[in-house]
Amino acid sequence: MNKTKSIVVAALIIGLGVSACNSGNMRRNPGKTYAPDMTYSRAYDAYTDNPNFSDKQTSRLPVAGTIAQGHELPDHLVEGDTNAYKTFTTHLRFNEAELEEGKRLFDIYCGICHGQKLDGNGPLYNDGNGKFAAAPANFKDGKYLNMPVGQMYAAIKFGKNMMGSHAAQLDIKQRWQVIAYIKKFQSENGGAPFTFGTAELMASTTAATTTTDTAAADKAK
Amino acid sequence: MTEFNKTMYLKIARTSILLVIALFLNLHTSFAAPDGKALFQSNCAACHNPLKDATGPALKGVEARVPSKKWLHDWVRNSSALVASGDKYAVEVFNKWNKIPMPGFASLSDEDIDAIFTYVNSVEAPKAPTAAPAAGTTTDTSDNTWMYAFITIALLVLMIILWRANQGLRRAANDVAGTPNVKDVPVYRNKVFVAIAVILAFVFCGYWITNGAIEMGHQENYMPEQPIFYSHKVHAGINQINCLYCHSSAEKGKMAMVPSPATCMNCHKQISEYTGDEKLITAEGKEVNGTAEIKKLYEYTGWDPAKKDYKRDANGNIISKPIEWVKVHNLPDHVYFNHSQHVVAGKVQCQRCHGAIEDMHEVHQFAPLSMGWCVNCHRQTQVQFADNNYYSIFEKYHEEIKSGKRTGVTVEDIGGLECQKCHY
Repeated sequence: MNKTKSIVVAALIIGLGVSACNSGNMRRNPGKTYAPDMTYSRAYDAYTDNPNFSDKQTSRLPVAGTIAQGHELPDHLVEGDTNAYKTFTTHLRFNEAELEEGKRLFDIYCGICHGQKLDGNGPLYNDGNGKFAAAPANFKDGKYLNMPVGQMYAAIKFGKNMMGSHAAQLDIKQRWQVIAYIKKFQSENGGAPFTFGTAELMASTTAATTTTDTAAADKAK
Repeated sequence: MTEFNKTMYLKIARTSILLVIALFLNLHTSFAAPDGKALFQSNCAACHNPLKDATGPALKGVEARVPSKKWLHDWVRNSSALVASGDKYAVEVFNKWNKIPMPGFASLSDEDIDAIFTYVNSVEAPKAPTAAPAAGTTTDTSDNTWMYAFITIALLVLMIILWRANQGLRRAANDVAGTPNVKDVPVYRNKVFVAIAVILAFVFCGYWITNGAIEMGHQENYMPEQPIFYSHKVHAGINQINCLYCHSSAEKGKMAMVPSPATCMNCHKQISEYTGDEKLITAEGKEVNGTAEIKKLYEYTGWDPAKKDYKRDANGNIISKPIEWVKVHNLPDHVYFNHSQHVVAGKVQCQRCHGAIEDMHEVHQFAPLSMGWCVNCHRQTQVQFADNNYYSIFEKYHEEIKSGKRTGVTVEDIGGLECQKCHY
């Protein structure tokens, strides 16, 4: 009789203990779902394996020679052709809002090393105390003050020295926006006059609003 | 016999009251007081930091800045109304912070708001980065629960001991007095006890089953093990790399994009060892060697750190293989979600849905990603209606705002709760 009593009591205690356990801790298992074939897409998703391709990847490059709607025409720069870099330029001109966007893009993609003040002293470098040991370009410095825009463009597209290629992150228009922002800053700090001007509002041929990655298209060429 | 019945009922009443108290102590700890930290994390942390200015100002000591406590309550519940009413300080704050309206949190009570600010004021600036507060947030809450569980069990044990002692004493007293000992009905055959036990079991199991049924399919707190121990805390937190640096397509398309290893190599060509002060600790408490993890990256990308170049095959192609990251946030096939819509048009901060990613070593799913959660946000969130060409067609709302009839427009107002908005 005592035994039964203690079983009842023990069960109660365990029950209470278990209920106290749902403390919301991290779990390595996603758990069960009601309809697994809906929860986990049966169609090929962006990053799922795909047996139809030899490299098993669902994400594909755009078809060679095609340009997505709203995108700029591809450039024809070849990596390493430094003479071509120097004369390379663009027809794009930006208004105030687009230059402001250029600053935002610079702060995200470049500021981490080149510094949001464009002084080559971003948080990753931090006067040499940071993680990134190589000093990034200081855009106030004479060496870069009058650098041809094509050279800057090539640095973004192909990378330069320790800097990697940012072609996957910035599409063609965004690259020029960033360069225009840098050039505007430099023109106010002793550089050549600013020519990406606001004279004509969006003189460019494209009305680029939807943008995906054109870098891939470049590579596919 | 009646005498005995009386004592028995008394005894049962005592027992059941104690049991009920114990249950309440255990199950309803969360009702005790509003949890300021949790409220802050879920409602405010997307835009506010206690110590640093973010989308909105740093909140520590804000009570000293604002005109009155009531003002603060009004502001939190409906800041747009306060600004519209022409309150001087409200307009000043609104203009100072780029006229970004703070969404109203009408559901928060005075106690909730006070709890939030009590928490905010208790936040101290982190000292040296060496003192690693390992997974602090989760242990705090569970600690409390365990304390209550312990108290409950201790009370139960005490109850049983006292009950047995009482029984023994009465038997001894009966022996002395010469009255015959009435044979006790064993507790498990006692009708009142059985009834109580059945009711309790019913409530308890019902609660457990209902909760489980609701929670099933929600993958909150799912923290898969990744092929490389990539710490968001080190990258996005300590080294301040913008989320969009790697997840750039969150602005451009449906997916937030898992960066290609080439993006990693933008920095890791140079940074080949981990020298940070922050200890890398897995959820299981194991310490991870950061340098070894960077080596794993090199194996995937085919980078040779000694030669400072990629390994190439005979055709000059880089010998690499994709990193098979495990997907953390999964939406079912029948829900459409677009990142750019939320990030660009809606101007929603990443942290609003993904939690304090910059404090996570390993990423876990912060939000339940349930439909209720989506709908709730669509109900509460005010869209940026002014100076936004996208919403120019909503003439009626624009007029209502102009005439002062309406203080703001929520996502719900512009069709954000229509079924086919997300299910089609």
